[in-house]
Amino acid sequence: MINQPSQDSSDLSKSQTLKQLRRTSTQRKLLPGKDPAKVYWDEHTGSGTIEFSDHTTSIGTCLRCPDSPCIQYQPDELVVPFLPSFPLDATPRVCPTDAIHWPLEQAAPSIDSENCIGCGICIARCPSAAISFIDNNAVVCDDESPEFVTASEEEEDEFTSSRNKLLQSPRSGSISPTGSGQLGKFRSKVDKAIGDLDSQFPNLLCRNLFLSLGVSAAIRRRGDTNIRLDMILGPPGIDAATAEIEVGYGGILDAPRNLMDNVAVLCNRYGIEKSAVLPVVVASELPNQRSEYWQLVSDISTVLQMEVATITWGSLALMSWNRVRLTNETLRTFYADETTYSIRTGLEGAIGRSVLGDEGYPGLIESQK
Amino acid sequence: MLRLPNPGSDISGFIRIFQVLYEELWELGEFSLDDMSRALVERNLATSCGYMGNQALARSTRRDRSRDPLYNQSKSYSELFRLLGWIHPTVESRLQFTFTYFGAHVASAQRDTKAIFKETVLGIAYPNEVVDVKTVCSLRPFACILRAMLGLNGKMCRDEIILGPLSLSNDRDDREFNAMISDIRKLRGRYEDLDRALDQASSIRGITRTTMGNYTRFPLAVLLWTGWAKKIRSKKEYQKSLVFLELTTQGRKQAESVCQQHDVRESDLNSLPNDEYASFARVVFYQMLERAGFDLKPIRSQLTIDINQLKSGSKESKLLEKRECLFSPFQESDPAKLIAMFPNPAVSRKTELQNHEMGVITTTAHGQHSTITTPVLLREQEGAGSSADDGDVKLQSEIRCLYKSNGKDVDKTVSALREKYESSNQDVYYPLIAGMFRCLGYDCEHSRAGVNYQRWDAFIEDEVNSVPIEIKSPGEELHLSVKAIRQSLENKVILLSRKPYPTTLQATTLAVGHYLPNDRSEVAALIDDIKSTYQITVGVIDFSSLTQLVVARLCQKKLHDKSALTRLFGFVKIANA
Repeated sequence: MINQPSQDSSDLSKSQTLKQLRRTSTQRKLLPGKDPAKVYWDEHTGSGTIEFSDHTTSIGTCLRCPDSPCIQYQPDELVVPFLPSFPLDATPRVCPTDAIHWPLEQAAPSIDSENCIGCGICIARCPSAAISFIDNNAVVCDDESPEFVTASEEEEDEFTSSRNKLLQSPRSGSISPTGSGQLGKFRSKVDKAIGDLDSQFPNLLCRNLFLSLGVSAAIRRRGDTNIRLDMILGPPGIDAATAEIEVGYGGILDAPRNLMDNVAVLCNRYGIEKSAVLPVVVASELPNQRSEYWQLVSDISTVLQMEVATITWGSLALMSWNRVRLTNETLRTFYADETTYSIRTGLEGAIGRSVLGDEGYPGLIESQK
Repeated sequence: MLRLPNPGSDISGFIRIFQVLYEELWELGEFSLDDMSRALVERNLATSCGYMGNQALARSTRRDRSRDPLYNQSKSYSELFRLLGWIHPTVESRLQFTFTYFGAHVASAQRDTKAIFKETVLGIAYPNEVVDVKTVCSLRPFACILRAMLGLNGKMCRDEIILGPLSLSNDRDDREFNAMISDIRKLRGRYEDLDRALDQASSIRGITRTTMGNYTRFPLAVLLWTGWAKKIRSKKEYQKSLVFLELTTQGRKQAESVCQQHDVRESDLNSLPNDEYASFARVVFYQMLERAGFDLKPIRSQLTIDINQLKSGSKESKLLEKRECLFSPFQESDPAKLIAMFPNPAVSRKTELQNHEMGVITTTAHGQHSTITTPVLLREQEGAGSSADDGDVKLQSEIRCLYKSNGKDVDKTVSALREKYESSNQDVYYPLIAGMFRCLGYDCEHSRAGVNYQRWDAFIEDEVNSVPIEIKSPGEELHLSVKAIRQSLENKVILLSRKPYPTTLQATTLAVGHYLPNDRSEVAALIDDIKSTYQITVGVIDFSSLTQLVVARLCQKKLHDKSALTRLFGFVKIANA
């Protein structure tokens, strides 16, 4: 499995450095003539399946992509076009808890179930539906499939073509099986991770959830005390948005005022039209009805004509599992104030179905009394 | 106690910064701190004075380099990267640097930076020939911490790390090391014993406990980031729930490996002939790279020669050849010595780039916003000096007495009152500020707790232009900051929306604090942003200026135009008409 890298074994020239060992490629490609028609997840088992144009099917299996999109983002995926100078945290990790790894000696990535929080971001990134939720954890399937064969390193183009075909295939079915309690488990694992991991974890989780919704997203680099914006969102789908990320109830009352600051900075210093910037509060849960938060959101709307959207982490996860592509219009439906205390309309509209209760995630879409 | 630097806990972040700096600067051969600042800004890795991009660079740069934030940030990075052996200062200047051969490998380690970072931290040893750290201890801190954790049931808390590994004078002295383990074992049982031991250490060293804790931030961050340890809470050791770092499986493996390795220090190599020293340095360095996942095939032949040199060399060399050694040449050896022993990654490029301008950044853009001030003029007027509110009689009397006792000197009176209230909390300060506004003839009240719509701390009621006031007591923050400005904005929005009192967009919203902001430009920039974007006016008054107005009215019969404060934009500036 471990390859000797392409380096001349003759005398090392003065300016050369040695290279880290890299993996021998065992990437997979589709058999010739196999065209994927759709990719779907079984609503009961959650497993991924690929259906081909000839009506045959295959389990979703790992393509062993050399660039491992389930593990890392490419640098250009992390830039938000409307503000390229934003001092972003360029952590390329897809998994907010670093649960997915691909050691050199392994044929395919694997996921540490102890650290997996069940966010499903890696599932969304996989081109071949090889990752799915099993018992509320993400698991990689690397089983052999007769529809796929190993592609050599020289067959890079064929691998890329196979992958693109899969990526462009229509996808259906929620990656979270019905009745699995995935959302509730996600919430409790996230709460535990907040205690165990470093302070950037919530921001990384939110960034990666937004990225899985097809928008560009960037979080502020840790330790940068000059820029106050927690996160910015941008195209495709969203023109420009600024977000405050909040954990628990503690700081959420500050979030609307921080957003007023953020919008003023973006408009005055970076020339962005006020009407083009969407302010968003991204919260672990909705504040309760007694909180001044809701009235404050209403005040900002009345006086500044800015509608602050409120969106919970659980809502982001549900939208990701249902492959929602976020747009300005969708984000605006997450406006809620003291007349509604709810983002139910926004979420149900986005995922195209009713949300039953809070699905095990208190404060998901309704503010608690 | 060994004083380790604190580069923050974002280890991935500063490794990335190094890799970016290498990408941007390696072709220069030698680079300066200004080159680093420029590279960081260009790659969006540094901001300054509230700005990103080139504006950050423009606003940061100033003649007094000690006050140039980006320059200081680059200096901190340079000190860190020197400690890690990734850059060395040049022979000519301590503020010009080159990337080391080791650094070049860190830069190229895109697949797995953790592995090479682990080797780096294990390579940190004191004293060394690379960084000037005044220390009397002989210590390889990270290796020592791992060994100590192994000896203490696989876990240690922060305070034990302070009292234990970081306080040894010689970690290779088995007696001292074992005594340290034994001492910590004895402390375990009662938290009071640990607490007392820390107090004693703090007192003897003349360092506060907080500072000692700060010296552990980097080691703790490293232990977690490398995966060598995980955080747990345990009551078992001290009958009190404390956070411990517990060795993981890979951490235990690493600790055991460190115990097997031969820990070599620079002072052990003094008697080695030069050629054997060179062989040793290359062998251990390439062994580090191999452990970090680098392929040594291209240099196998050189490595074989070096190993044979050690085998046939002096007695010391033979010892070194027998066991795997813990030694990092780029972190311990004299940089000048290493030049001849290893490739220099930049040498081949330097001749092509001799004309590259390593220019000095010149700009004067910083401080652009610090001039948002509104003058408030004082005029002598008959009939001034009285205030209607009986409740403020005590305050007025206090101010008049201070004025008299300070020889009718306004500045001294202001200073005296300012010092008197310098540690006040909200209970005292808010009514005080409201009272001072009343002394100036405003109808002002401070908010009472429990009145929900009164989000502001005090309020000037007016028939047309009511003004909310955000007050920051010294107990909350001694110097006003952007926090107060944000809250002032919120107060105004609430007032305009809910309309409990009449106001207009033209009326200001005030922020009052004990001192003006440390960085006025950032606060001024935000005030400007708010004005431009929302047409809302924010005014800032410090305690001294407010007192000056009150003294002028009560003691000098000088009045100000009341609307000047209710329309205040930016910082108040009191002047005589």
